[in-house]
Amino acid sequence: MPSFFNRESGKQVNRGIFMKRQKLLFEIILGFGFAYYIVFNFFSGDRKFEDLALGTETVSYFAVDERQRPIHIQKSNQEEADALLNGWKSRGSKPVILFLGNSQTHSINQQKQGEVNFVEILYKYSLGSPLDVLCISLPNAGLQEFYLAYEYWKMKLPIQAVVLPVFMDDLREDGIRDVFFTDLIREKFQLKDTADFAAVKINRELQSYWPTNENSKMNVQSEDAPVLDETFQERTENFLNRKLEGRSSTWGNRSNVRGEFFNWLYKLRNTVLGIKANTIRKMIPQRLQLNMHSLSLLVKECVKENKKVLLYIPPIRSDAKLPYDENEYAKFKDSVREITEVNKRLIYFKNFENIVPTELWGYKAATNLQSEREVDYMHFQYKGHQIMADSLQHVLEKAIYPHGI
Amino acid sequence: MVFNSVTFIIFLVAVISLYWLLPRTVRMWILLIASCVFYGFWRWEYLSVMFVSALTDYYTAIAIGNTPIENKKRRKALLAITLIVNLGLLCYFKYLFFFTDNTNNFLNFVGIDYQLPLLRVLLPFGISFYTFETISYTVDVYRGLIKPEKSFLHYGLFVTFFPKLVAGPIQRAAELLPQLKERPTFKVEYIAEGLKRILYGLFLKVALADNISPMVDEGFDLAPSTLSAIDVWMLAFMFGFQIYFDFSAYSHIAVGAAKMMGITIPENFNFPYMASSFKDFWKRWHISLSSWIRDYLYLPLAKIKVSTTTGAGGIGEGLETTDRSAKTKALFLTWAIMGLWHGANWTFVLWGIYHALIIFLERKLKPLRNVIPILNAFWIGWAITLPLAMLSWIPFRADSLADTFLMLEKVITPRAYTFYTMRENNYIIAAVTMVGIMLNYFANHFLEPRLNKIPYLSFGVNFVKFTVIIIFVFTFLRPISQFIYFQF
Repeated sequence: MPSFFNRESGKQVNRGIFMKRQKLLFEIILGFGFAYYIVFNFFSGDRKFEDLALGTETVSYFAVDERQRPIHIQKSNQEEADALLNGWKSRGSKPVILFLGNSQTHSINQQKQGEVNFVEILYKYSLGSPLDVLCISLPNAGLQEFYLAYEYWKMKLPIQAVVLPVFMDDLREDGIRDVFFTDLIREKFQLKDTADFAAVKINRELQSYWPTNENSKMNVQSEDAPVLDETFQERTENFLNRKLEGRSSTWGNRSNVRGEFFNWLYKLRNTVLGIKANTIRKMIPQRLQLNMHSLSLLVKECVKENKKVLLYIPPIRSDAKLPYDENEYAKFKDSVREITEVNKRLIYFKNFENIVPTELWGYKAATNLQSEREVDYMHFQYKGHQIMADSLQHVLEKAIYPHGI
Repeated sequence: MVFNSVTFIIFLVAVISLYWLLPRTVRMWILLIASCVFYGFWRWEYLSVMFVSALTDYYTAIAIGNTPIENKKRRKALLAITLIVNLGLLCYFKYLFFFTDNTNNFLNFVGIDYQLPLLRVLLPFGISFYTFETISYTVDVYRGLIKPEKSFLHYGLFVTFFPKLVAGPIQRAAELLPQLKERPTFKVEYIAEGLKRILYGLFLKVALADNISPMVDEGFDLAPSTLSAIDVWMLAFMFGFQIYFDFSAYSHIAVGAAKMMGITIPENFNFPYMASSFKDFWKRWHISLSSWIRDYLYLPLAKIKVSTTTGAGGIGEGLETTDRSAKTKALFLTWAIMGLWHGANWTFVLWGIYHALIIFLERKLKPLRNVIPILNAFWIGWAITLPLAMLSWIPFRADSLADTFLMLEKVITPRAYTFYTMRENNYIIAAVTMVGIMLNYFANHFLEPRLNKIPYLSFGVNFVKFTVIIIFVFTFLRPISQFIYFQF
């Protein structure tokens, strides 16, 4: 009982209680201090999550002229839609061959000075022709996103033909990522064919991102605050975020840090479960079905509009065991081919899986925490892009536009 | 205003600073104004709905207090006014569409060619919570458990107090009003404890609940007929985790924000997924609602006199004493209403009845547990309760009764266990999260008390814990999704 203690031990008791009471606050303050140190030392600077995922050997490349100014023929982000449209207009608003693709379409493995991707090569082939070549290449895009991108771009461009790679990997993807489709969300764009469940799902996802305020600007701030639609807090939150981003690159970098964190978790999972780049990935039935539905909707739409379509199985390296179940891969190729049976006059199918030789492939960042790099099944070197361009050009000239492009 | 936003953090810092810096006499006014601003950030015009509810109860409670106990008729009439106004508001905003839609379906069914116009009304945030608080206040005055509050400032603040305004904990007047009048002096531990709880809450919401949410949404968006039994179990667990992290996050922040002002509001959660029975579960899950339901619905329906008012204990306390058939009816009716409170959909009613049924079975099987004592072991109870509790989230989250039954049917179909249809990550995350919850429970109950005996080690562990939490909160803080209980 403290009242029986002498003054000295009473003081000790009080000091002990004081220390106990302040301990929590010290822990939190020190936590803030150390977190501040970590955040500002490790999270600041320019970071691009996509480049991190590609690894050091592969880089994203977008066409430039001899003075290194961008030629607006290929974009990996819908936010750059205006630049793509302006570029197309400046070249005479010609009818378009629209290429859809993922990172294979815009990335080059072990790129050297002056090496370009196959989209730029095809664009150069098309110079002087009555057609323009444009490409939307969205990293890790699923066919739901390609279908949506096509439906959107056909409103903006006079599309004559569509060239679409069908990656087995992408059939495991699902959903519509707001980061690639801010324009569509702002414009409240919707697919017209709502009879199909794939279209219904895409529309529902788009709606979930819609701001209710017509004037609200879809930018990084509001992407981070979709639940606040039209409220006073939305305006306040966007204002505060803009201020914070203006003052701190670390704050603006948070989305990349989140990406890196998930990438680390993904690697951790792979390490624990022994998953590598060549580990067989099984198809996910629901996602496969949605993606194949989207593909067939895209094809049907093109047939209805009398547009030609080239569907191709993209190149994949053949010197390593494929990360697919053999039966599933064979079945996948058959299903893509079957889709083209709808109309052989307008829809073409090509299998390019073996056209890029073994030596033209490289490595990518490891997908686990143990090794430094792993075989890359997706991205090839410049010579591979040259082969791709020539192969595509051959089909385009022969099948899509026999009278020359 | 949503808690998981920069706006709220700045708002809270400003309110706490003003609260402690300004003279005691103006603190309550500051809090009342701040609470109105907090609500107005969402839709200021809906403040009027809240004040209609608050003013009704303020005046009827005073009138009841002024009416002699012998004049039962007048007291009952005054209580009826409160119930009609509050439940009327709740019915109009929350159940109008449900009632008209169901009436139309019924008219169709009996062949009457008439359809009521369907009206969708925007549900004011927090209406289910503040109407329950105002009702409980007036009922407590009617029961003679508390005296009516004369100061509208204090009473208004009891209703609008911003930390618990939108999603609880549902506060009893007897617990909050004395604290509002007490006006505490500043203590550092209020800030430290409050900060700790707010950090916990933000972490649970922005780092856990919001990242689980897309996986749950994807699963429940799929056609139920294509799901496997493994998918259904995974989705039940994942939604169980999401709603727990989400709602307990809100409660942590509410408790923390109030604590920073020296005010204690009751805890709403206590490791619900470590419950060893459903009765135990409801002492651990949304404690303030279950105790409200116990005191203002279940016990009156079971004709049991209520002699105290407290937000503690959960509904399990009330169930302890019941065994007669009249009380069984009360049990099912209470739970059906409890379900309907969560949302205007038959799926919620099914969720309530599911819980009532299991509680009923637990009660009926009590003699068996007495004969076979091992059935009373914690681990056995937990292993039975956890999957059943998780499965109850299926009707809670599914869009319709048809979807619910399709999904539950999978669980009892052996063939549906032979495949899975979703990304492997989802199953891994569900398993890891469950292990994490168990580890957290053991750390909290067994490791932490031992660690606290070694001050330097405990200091180091807590310092690392807060560093990690702060980094996560900084990285993930963004109002990308509403707290789930806002819609209730």
